[in-house]
Amino acid sequence: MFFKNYQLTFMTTTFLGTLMAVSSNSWILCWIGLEINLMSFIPLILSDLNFKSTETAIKYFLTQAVASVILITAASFTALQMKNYYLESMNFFLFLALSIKAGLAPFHIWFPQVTEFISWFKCFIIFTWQKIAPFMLIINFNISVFTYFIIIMSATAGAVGGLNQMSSKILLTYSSISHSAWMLMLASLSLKFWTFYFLIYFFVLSPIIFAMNFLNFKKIKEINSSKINLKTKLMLSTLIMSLGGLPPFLGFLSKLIALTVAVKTFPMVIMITLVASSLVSLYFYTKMFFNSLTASLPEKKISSSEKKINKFIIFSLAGNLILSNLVLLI
Amino acid sequence: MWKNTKLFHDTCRQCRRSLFPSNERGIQSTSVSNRFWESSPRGEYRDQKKFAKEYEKEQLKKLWGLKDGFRDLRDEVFKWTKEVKDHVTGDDSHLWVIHGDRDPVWTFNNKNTLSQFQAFSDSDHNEGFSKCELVMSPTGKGLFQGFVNTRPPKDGRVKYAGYCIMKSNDIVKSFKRRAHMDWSNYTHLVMRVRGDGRSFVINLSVAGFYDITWNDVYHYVLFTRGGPYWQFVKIPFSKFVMASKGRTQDFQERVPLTQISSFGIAAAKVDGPFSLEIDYVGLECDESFAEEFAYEMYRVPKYIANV
Repeated sequence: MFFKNYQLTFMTTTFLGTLMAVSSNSWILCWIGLEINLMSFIPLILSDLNFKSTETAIKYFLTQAVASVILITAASFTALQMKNYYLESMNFFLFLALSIKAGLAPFHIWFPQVTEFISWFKCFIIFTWQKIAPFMLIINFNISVFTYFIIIMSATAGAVGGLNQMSSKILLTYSSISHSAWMLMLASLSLKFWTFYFLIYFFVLSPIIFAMNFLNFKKIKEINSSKINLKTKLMLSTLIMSLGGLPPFLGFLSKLIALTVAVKTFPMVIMITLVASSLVSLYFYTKMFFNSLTASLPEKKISSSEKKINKFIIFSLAGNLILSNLVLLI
Repeated sequence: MWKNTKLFHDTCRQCRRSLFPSNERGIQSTSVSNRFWESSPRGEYRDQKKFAKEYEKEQLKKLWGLKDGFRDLRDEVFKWTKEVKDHVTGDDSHLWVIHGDRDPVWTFNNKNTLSQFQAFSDSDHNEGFSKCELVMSPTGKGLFQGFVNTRPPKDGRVKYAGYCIMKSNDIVKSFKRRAHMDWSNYTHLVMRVRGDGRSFVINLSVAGFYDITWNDVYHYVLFTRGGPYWQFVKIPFSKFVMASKGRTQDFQERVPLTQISSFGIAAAKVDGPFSLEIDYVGLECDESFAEEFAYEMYRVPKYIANV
């Protein structure tokens, strides 16, 4: 109904590739899982059938393939020394390859160029599912100066890159890069903290992308337009504020817990950079809906299509508000 | 696809040979292209490429090229820091285009605007005898004028001739990266022109990084009235048609307004003088215009035309 047969096939293999990569205890099997994931995602990009899908697929393939080459080469060199391919053997180049795979700065240039021309659903997969394997493998690494460097660069690039962006997809891409900095910080500490942050990010992002897809929003100014009802605008605005980490929403909770657990381990510079980048990110999130709350535009009646998405958004909004307060009470 | 295999092309070549023995000229008058790969964005001929390669080899031999490279690196880093500063602190009014906004992109009232364009014709590439120029008119506006000559040169290579084009210069960012104009907030291209009654073609090039996109150009015909009165033209972006090297494509799509690399106007095909006076070229946002794409996209069978 929503997906064609070949899309379902490739989505299944994409998911299987990630599961294979996170389930293995050898770098060879991790690499195979990541390759299956990559090769399965390329046809999904090409299935969009627009002129730019070929260029997008080439860019995605080249970046991920280079990262895979670095990964398998580094794993092989490490195996020569350690006499095995087990995941305990860590290497700077392995971390580098996984950073490229996850789209962390300064290896993030391909990310907005790819997400600009793919559908919203594929964007959602790239923002969430495609990050699982690299981050779960990064969990094995110790904290190092390179980790600090990547966190600072990703936070800065995510914040600065999202400024003056017209396209909502590119804006959410830079937001994803910014969130990846937080995820990297938590992944360096523990699997539990990273999983917690990732699930909240997934939960907060999914209604936004669902709404953007349904309402066919390509530009950030379209939220302010008179094409949608004020109630839908308010709900979307609230969800975006949650993504930006504004209290009392769920997005704030994830950042609060991240700061609480990381402040003992990470230097203050990292904390300050992350909080400052969150502030800057909040500025461009606010730009998306500011005019809709302040300008007086003719109000449109809620259409039947809007009613369908409004139910989903209300459910997510309730979760954003209730869950965060529940966890705080506990 | 099997059409891109060597076997397919060998089979086609054999069919042609069997139909047309070697001592007779075939119907096909252009050389067979066995690949879709473009070796140069300028579409050079093979003998030109040989000279270009020799020139490049000579340049590389010179050691002072290294010094130039370091100086260029310093300049490019300065450009990059300026770009980042502009990105962070620059004006974001382009994000808030509303219904009714009409913004000029090029106003042809001074020589600075003319310097952002280049006018060339087939004679500049030794492919014809047309002439053109882009100058200031006596009324202080831009004037694109010249003479289209469709007589091809007798070099045994060119079959058809006769074009004159004015084209905006490519935007180049730091580190020689190609940049694009983002017109996605607008729905119409607007121009105030005074033509001579001739038809011109408006070209929006969306050339990208990869060679398969180098020849992607969207066209729309501009019909001018002639006469002393100015003409205001408002063309929706949904009407532009995609062609590659002048050949309209089977598979059509709306022009990707985030990837405009250049804007051009062409005069071709009809012998004789032409003149087009241009006041400005701009963009308009008309939210009441809901058309996404003007041409009905019928479904084609599988494995045909990019499906």
